[in-house]
Amino acid sequence: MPALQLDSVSKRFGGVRALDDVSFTVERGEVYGFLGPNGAGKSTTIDILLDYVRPSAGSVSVFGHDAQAEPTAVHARTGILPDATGLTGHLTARQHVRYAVDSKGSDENPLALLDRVGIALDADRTVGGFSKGMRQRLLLACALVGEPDLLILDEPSTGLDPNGARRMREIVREENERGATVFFSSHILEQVAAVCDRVGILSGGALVASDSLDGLRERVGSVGRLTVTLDTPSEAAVAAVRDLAGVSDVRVDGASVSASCPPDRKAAVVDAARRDGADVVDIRTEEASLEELFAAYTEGEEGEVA
Amino acid sequence: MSGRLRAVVERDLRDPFRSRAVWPVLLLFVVFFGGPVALTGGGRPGAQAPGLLNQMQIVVFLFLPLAALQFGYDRVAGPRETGEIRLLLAPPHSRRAFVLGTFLGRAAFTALLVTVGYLVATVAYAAVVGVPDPVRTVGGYLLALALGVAVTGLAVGLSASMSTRGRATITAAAAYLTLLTFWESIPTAVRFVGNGLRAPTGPQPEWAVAFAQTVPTRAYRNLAANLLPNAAPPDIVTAGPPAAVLVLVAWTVVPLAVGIARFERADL
Repeated sequence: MPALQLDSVSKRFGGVRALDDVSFTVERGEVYGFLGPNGAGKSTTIDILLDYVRPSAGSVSVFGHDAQAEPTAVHARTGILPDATGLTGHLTARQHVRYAVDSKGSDENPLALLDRVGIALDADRTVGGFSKGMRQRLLLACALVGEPDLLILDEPSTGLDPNGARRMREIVREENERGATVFFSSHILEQVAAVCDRVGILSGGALVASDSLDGLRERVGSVGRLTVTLDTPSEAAVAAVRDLAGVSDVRVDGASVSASCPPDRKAAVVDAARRDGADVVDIRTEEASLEELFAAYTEGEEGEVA
Repeated sequence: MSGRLRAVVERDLRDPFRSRAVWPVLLLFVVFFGGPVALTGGGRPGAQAPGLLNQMQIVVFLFLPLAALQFGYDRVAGPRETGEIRLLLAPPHSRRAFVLGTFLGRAAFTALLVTVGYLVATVAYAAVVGVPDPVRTVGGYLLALALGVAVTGLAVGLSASMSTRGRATITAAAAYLTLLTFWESIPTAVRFVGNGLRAPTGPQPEWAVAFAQTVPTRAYRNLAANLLPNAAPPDIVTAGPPAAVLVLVAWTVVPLAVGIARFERADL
């Protein structure tokens, strides 16, 4: 039984189609990154998983429980960090966590949870004065209550500084090692690349990909970046690289010429760069960045979107 | 496994203290409940003494519904508007349980306000006039509790029916006016329309009087009248004690049931 299963889920809000026939599965023990630009339908998908919103068509199950028929069974096993939630300002961080602890019938110490997310010193401050990052840490602490089997984190790194984002990633890994399945949405690609086993990409309410990062790279089919450093760079060499078929996004940085190209065009790029008689000092290749992958899937530039 | 409802109840009961919103209201309760008794000396002494219950009636009638609505109207609609409802429902509370827990917490809070008000009034009465009639005092206190709980049910039920705080505010204001006067004006409005948009003449027909009794504020007064020696509730079946109790229960339960049904169907 998978942790999460969506079958042909669609959702309309009035005349607006927010989700269109979305199906995917998240296995137990996976860290699954749910990627997509703002407005792609990520939060709507999460809202349907948690029965905050009802699908217009399709079904969702979490650990075999139908999300619409047995929402409390789903919530009993799930830790939730909702996106764009208000927080009652006159309550302290400890009181907010206490509500989650008492509600779940847990006996954890709220202070220990707040310590884990790094805001133990602010436990007795009211959250009205909290920064966005502190609020996000508090929400994570609430989500961790009761050692849930599934963590659903909606844009967890919103407003976090680099330290906070790193702590978030560490906690995701720790929870995953404990055995929890983690499902989190993001439009921040580094977050996804750093911790996810698999990613799903949502664009315009439709799931355009669901695969491992390597699998996605393969399917997009292009594109590495090749950087050739020359001893005597010249305009003619750059022009020659630009003229090559299958090569794009040529950039010049000092003595280096770099270009996006498929693997079988790398030799041609090196040849073209030497055309003016320059010697090659260094050659570097990089895999496609996640950013490029993301753009390829969500803007359809590569034309091979799954 | 479902969530521990107690956490919801506690959250709602303690919130007015945590936000400190309780203190001005508590002060008003002390002033409005204790003030009249202390100032008038419990009315004229002797056989005509209105007694504590009589004096409390108008305060309870005007002030208690306002407080119960004020503390209940935004408890569901408010978090729904800000998105905090997702966090409040993140633990395994069903939506129905969440609304019921909210109602219980707020009803306990309303009961606390009534209790403090009545204690202050009783002490003031005892100091200025003498020991009040125990049956009327305890009876009046229990009736005030029942009215407070009914209006809390109405407030929380309305709140669960509304998607934004703004709508909840307007509805709560309309509910207060309904409790005070509108409900009893409905028969007159119906007669006005039925009379070809002309003011109706003659005495109130029986159905109009019967209808006017079916609002909790009136049910409270009809029940209180049964405890007082020289008050006479209308001689009609809807003003009798069984009907009045039914009115109080219905105004607690029906809005809650409607609110829960609407909240359960809603996209949050």
